[in-house]
Amino acid sequence: MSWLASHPLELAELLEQHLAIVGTALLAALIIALPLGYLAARRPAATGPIYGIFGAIYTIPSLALLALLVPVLGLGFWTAVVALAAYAQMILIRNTVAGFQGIDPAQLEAAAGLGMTRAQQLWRVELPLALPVIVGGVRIATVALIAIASVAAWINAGGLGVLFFDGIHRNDVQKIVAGSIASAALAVIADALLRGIERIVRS
Amino acid sequence: MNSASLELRGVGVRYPGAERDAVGGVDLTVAPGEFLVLLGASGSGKSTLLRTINRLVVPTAGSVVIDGQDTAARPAPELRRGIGYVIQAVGLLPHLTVGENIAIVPELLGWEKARIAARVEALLKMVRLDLSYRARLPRELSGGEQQRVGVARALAAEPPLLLMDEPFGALDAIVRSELGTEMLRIHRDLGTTIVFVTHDVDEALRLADRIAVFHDGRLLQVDAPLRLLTHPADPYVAKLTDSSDVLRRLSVMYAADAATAEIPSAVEERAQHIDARSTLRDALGLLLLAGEPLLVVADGRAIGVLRFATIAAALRG
Repeated sequence: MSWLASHPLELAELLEQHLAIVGTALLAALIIALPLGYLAARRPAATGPIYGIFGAIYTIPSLALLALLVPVLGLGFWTAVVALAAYAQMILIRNTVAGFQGIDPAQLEAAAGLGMTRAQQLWRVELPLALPVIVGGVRIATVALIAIASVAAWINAGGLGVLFFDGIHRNDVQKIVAGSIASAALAVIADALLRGIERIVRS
Repeated sequence: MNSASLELRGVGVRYPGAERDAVGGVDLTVAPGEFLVLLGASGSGKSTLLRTINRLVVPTAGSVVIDGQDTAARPAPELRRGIGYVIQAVGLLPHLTVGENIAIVPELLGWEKARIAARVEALLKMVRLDLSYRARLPRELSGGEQQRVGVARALAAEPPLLLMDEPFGALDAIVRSELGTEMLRIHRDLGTTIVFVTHDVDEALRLADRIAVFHDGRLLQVDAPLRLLTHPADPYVAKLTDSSDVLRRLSVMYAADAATAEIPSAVEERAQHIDARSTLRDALGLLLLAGEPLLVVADGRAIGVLRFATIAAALRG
């Protein structure tokens, strides 16, 4: 705790880097996962391949995934973003599929029967009804990414992980403890915030 | 009156990979303002045929013509906004209020806000729901109330044609009969052409101007309820409708048609009254309880009498 109190500026910078990595990765992951999840939910032929590919990526340990990406993308921010985005895919796709598949077919039939176009059905019916489950996926993915983003420091992408690696190298327990507390607190706050959003879109 | 004519010309549906047609070459003409019931067991093709009318199912043969225009000539969403559609599962959108659900089609058509609000109010009245229901969510309503909203939503943009796919099939007997009565009243008031799918013979007999009987994707017979019972064109029709059942036959015959015209003045004093729109089945029950004769009354005026012999004569045709 004492390190956190005595280094507010350094902490703020690492926190900002951490949030930038997680936020960018989440956004990129959502842009890919939403259409793929919708496709997997509506086209049974696509479900198997999509689950297969992203399920396989999900099983690669995060450290190993970073190690694999460095020769291709080099060190730094974007490599960390790519690794985290790939890791988040499975969580986001699975929840997107569950969200769209959980819609009562009678509601889709009614929407089509009333004369909504495909786009109107998607924006006015399917997306609002699937949203609570999708936001649930975003919450789980966010908490997971906040934890995993710590290893990004290992490839010079910064973030709270810097405290772990510095602490290990210099045998500085205070720094390791500070990093743990900061990243755990971040995860808890993000979880509470997204739970609130989930509750709002559910009602 | 706002009512469309409907013509099915050799309409057939075969699903990809299926060995036989789900619906085979159906020719059927529905007059403006007619209440036509498609009757058949599940799997008979009646629902599939209904869904070809608003192109939720695209026919693989033949054409559907509404008011002289081939439905294939228009974009499907535009076509559907002009056709009311009610399904058994209701399908109210759970994230919208009752009022917003009813307003869906007028909004798609770009009506002004004030006009939509007035229309929603009028529709709630038509389906006999309190105006306070407008702000409620579908999940707060009973099954019967939900389907009243379903009917209001289908009629929102004053469609000249209304399609109903087993709309009351999931409701209990009392609510079902209540909503049947409401549909007859709404049909009388609006004159909308209605095509109504059911597997319930008594419901079909009660509601229909004409009944079209389906079996294995084929149309077997189209006739008025009484004619269907007295002159089944096919052994299956006779079996399905149990047409030898005398009481069922009396349930589609009406007091006004059977009553003898002369009214003995002495009768008026002590005879039990019965409404001219009552079925002869109800009349027979009343005769058994109250004795002969019954005085048939229309709009408060006696128009004739009914006796056991009059009913027997009407039955023998």
